[in-house]
Amino acid sequence: MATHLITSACTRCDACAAVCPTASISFGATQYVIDQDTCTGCEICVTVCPVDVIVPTPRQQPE
Amino acid sequence: MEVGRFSQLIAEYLQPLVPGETVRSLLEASADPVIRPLDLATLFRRNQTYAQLIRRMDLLQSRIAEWVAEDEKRLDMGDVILDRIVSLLGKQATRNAGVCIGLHRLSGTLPKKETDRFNLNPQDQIKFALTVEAFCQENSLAYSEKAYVAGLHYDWLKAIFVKNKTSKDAQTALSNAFTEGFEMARIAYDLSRLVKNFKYDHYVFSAALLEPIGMSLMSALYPKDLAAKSWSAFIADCEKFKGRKDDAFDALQSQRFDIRHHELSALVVNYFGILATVEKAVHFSKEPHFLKGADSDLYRLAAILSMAKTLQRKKPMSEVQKDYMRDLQIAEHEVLLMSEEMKMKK
Ligand code: SF4
Ligand code: SF4
Repeated sequence: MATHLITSACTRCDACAAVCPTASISFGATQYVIDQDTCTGCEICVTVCPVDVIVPTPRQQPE
Repeated sequence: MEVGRFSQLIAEYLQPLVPGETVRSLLEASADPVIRPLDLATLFRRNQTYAQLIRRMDLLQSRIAEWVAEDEKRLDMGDVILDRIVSLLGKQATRNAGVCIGLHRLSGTLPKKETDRFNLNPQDQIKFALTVEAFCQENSLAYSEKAYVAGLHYDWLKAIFVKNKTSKDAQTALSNAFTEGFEMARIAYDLSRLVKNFKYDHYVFSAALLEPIGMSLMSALYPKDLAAKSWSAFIADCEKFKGRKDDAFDALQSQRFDIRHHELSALVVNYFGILATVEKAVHFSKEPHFLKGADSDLYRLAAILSMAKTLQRKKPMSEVQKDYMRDLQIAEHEVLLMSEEMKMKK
């Protein structure tokens, strides 16, 4: 689905993971990350992120 | 099958079987001999969950710390680490790590906090896939990558059973189905070598491995508390037929349940979505002749499954199966020889 991702400016405040209805947000190696296979783009996480680092995933350019 | 049970089958067991796009691409890419390990890193980068979580593998932590210490200020350190990990692990281990992350996703055990413990343990998480892949490689059987994918169906279903807290009986039935499928797969593979110009030889092992997987779902959908209508009661009833229990198993299943285990097996393959050819062959493995006019190679694949099942049960071929042998131009003495060899190995 690839709709939203979290940039490296994530402050790890831990606000987003709990609100995601599809449990697509987890903590990776250094920051929170969104599973591109399961994110539905509902943007609930966007509304709780205090630093606005959850952004739409850029479209893949055809190779 | 009643509507309620059918809905349960779809919602609890089949829909979760669909692997995510990342796992699917990873399986396709890792089976492609042209793809290099670094190409898998590109694939991981498309999904930040995978790109980051592969870096949490315990056994790599000291290496990663060294790499970071080498050049702490590098802005693209995450990418550098990912490239080095896949180069170090190689294709198979990278694939296994990605698949295990997918299984954590399915099980709901991805870390929610920085401090959460998270481990990848392929030997345990994908035991079935690794067992058949290792067997194929050790015995120089072709198409080990397809066998691996077939084995993954069992690992995926096992994770679903654990997550849904499905009965121990169903979990045992899954292990038993794997054992039976593994035996059938080896026999089917040997049978397929007797068939000339066979287009689907690369699917034989995986199709036979998957034929019995639906028995575990029968056990899950018809649990012990249904008493006489349960799967375990049906098995016990078949046992009463002693020497003819396999015939009873085949003949009475649809009467008792409105669906047969191999039809559920075909649904499992359908939802997993990678081995479409196998799905059709498994679905028709009890009646291969239905495929005869439609697709001669698919007919041959389904016929091999039918014959492998009979050999696995150590039974003689039926008259219909003798027709299959003639159609496939397999000489009867070759099959007899195979079955004698199997008895000797036992
Ligand atoms: S957009 Fe919705 S589905 Fe996607 S990560 Fe945010 S809350 Fe979850
Ligand atoms: S809410 Fe924003 S800053 Fe906080 S953990 Fe989530 S992405 Fe990071």
